[in-house]
Amino acid sequence: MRARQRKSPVHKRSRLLPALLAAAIVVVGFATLLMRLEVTQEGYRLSAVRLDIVKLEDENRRLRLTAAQLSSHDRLRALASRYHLEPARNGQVVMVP
Amino acid sequence: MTSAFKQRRSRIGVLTFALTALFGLAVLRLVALVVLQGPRLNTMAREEHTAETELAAVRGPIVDRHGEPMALSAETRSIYARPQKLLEANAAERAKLAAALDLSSEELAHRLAKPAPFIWLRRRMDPAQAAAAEALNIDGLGAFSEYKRFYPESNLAGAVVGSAGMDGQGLSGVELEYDKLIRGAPVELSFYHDALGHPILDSPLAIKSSQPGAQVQLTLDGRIQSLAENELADEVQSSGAQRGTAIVLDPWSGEILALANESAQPDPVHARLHDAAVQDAFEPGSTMKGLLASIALTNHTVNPAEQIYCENGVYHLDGRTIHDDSPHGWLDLAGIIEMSSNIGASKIALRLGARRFYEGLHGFGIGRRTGVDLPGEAGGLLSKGSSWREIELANHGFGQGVAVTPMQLAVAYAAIANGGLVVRPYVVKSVSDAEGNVLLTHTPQVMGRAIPPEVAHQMNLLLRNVVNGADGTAHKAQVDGFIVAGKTGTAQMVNPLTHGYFQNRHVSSFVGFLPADDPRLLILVVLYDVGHGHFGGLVAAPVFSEIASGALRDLDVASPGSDYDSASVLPISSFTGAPHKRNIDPLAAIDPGVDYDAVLDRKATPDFSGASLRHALDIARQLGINLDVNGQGYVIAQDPAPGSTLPSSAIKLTLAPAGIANPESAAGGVTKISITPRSKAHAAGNARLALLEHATGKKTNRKILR
Repeated sequence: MRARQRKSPVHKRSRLLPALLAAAIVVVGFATLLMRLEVTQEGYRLSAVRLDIVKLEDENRRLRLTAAQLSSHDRLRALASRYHLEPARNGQVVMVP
Repeated sequence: MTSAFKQRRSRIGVLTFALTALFGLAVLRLVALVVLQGPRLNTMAREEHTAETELAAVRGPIVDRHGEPMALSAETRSIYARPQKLLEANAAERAKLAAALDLSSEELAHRLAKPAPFIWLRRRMDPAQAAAAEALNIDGLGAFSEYKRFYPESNLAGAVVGSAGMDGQGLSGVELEYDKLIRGAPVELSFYHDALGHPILDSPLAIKSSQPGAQVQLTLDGRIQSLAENELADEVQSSGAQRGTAIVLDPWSGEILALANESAQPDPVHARLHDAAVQDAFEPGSTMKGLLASIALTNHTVNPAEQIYCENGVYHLDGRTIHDDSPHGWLDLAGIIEMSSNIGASKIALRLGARRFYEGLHGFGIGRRTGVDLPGEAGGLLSKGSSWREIELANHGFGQGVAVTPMQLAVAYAAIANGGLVVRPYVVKSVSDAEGNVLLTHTPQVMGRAIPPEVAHQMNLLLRNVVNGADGTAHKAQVDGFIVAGKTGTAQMVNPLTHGYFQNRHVSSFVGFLPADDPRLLILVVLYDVGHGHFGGLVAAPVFSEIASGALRDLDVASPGSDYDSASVLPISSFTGAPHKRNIDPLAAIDPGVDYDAVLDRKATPDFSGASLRHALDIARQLGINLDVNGQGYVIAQDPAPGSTLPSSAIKLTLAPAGIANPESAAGGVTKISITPRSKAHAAGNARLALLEHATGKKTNRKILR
């Protein structure tokens, strides 16, 4: 009679490691997603700030232009003549040290 | 094996085959999409979610020497429409749109009726005005930002500043000459956008800005320029001239302080595109006599004391007749210049000979470009001397048969004013980028020597007679308080049809410099196409006088004879200590009795005795020392004594009115004046010393102040 073969004992694999691995993947994925969203949001904010800078620079240029137009020689001369003013003649300006 | 089992097995086989086939098809499709159509689909995808735009660069500003803007760029809005969509808007909205765009309803309807998918409604609008239209938020209406070039000073110095086109490219003037620097660098930007078209930045590093154009600072002085244009325009109107040109130049450095072109029929567009001062040539007439005399003196062809017979106004030569305006007998060189004798000039030219006259003119820069940094400069007309016939040589002597640009003539006379050096004129002082880094700076550049300093000095004296002499032709060029040297010119205009001259159409001019003792300004005024009798001394000289008076005031140059002087720097002649004695000759400014090395090394106390307060201040400014001034008038005492070690504290000066020699009687309070050593005036003094050394061709035994 053949001796009954003895079955080797079955070792149950631990399910903890895969679970942890899966959880880690989920966490990392989620974090990446959040970061990606944050970067996108920051991108929008940067775009807005950049737009503000451009607008302010344009505003600055317009104001410079307005100031230059208001102080142009032609305009000042016209204003002066309205108030009966004229350029100083020789001898009317005395320069002292 | 039962039949049921077999049936089931065959079904599985069919299913497996079907699934395998489907998978195979999917793989094939995948291969087709990735390999065969991949690049095309990739491009389509990229176009779908990315956008590209060009960030236009703003043209850099152009400012005058004081930083006042002459050209600026600013944002404007351009409104466009998609007519098919816009026509769907109701009539009330369209009426509001028309009002916002400053158009009539009919005009708007007419534009929208065009069978085009895209039309401009208005371009380059003021952003505030465009905002009203954009706020209507009508479907089919859109707007772009565009930069527009503005010239806040209107047409001031239009020919120098030039103009820029609709696409921001330089077309003329400095706008063209320095276009590469002014234009800046646009940026091509590619970015992802979301469904609404908002850009998504992958990385903050993706943010790029266009590089704005560089700022150009001109040598022009806006106030002098304005003055020159107004005075010239007034004279063009009152004299009946067709147009006129005026140039104000620093004869030492070549800096152009003003360049004006005025027409009897002003055309702002043409005025910006054409610069008559450098692009048009004219026959100089008698202003040529100043150059002729300089060349003749340089070649020792004529002795200043020698008398030349002027044929009582009529001189026959080579079958032609040369006339003088009034008959003259014997005249010396001074008389020929002062009374502007054509016959005398002809005889000097004949004696000089074609070769030497040609070489002399060439040395003054006649017949070649001056090198001014403006586009389209003409070289004038001066044929080779070897081809001149006798009558041509004689005619050239009084400015016929030769054509010069106003700029050439101004530079040639600047050489007489500065001691004989031909300097390169320039209108751009410096160029700097948006951060203020200097990219380019122009400094005075000597192109060559036309005449020796002693001849320049002789000419300086001769040319004063033209303005101040009893028989001078330019009394109207006089300026109160200053000595003026210059020469008038009245030339008949060339008739291009007959190749002869018009009898009643003239070019009248005056070129001069002042103060003649120490030239600060060279001014040329040319009036084209004036009638008979409008001599240069009558129409151009008064303009010179007005421009000169205003410019000297603007530059704070006080009259040497005034009681109150500006603190502007004087040349080293001040060291001679003579009250109110200006240097007649730059060389005479060097006093052999003064140890300039010791003085300029700030080791020895200079001699202030006899100096006016201004002279004393000038010396102090150049040396960077302090003064304690007591009283008014001229220095009668100083502590420490001249030549002693320079004190670290202030030098005490006692001044008294002329004729009072007792320090005790000198009245007035004590004024302590601190002078900044490295002032602008100091730099100006250095420049003059350097040019003086250029002029003499040797070291002046003086060190340039550092």
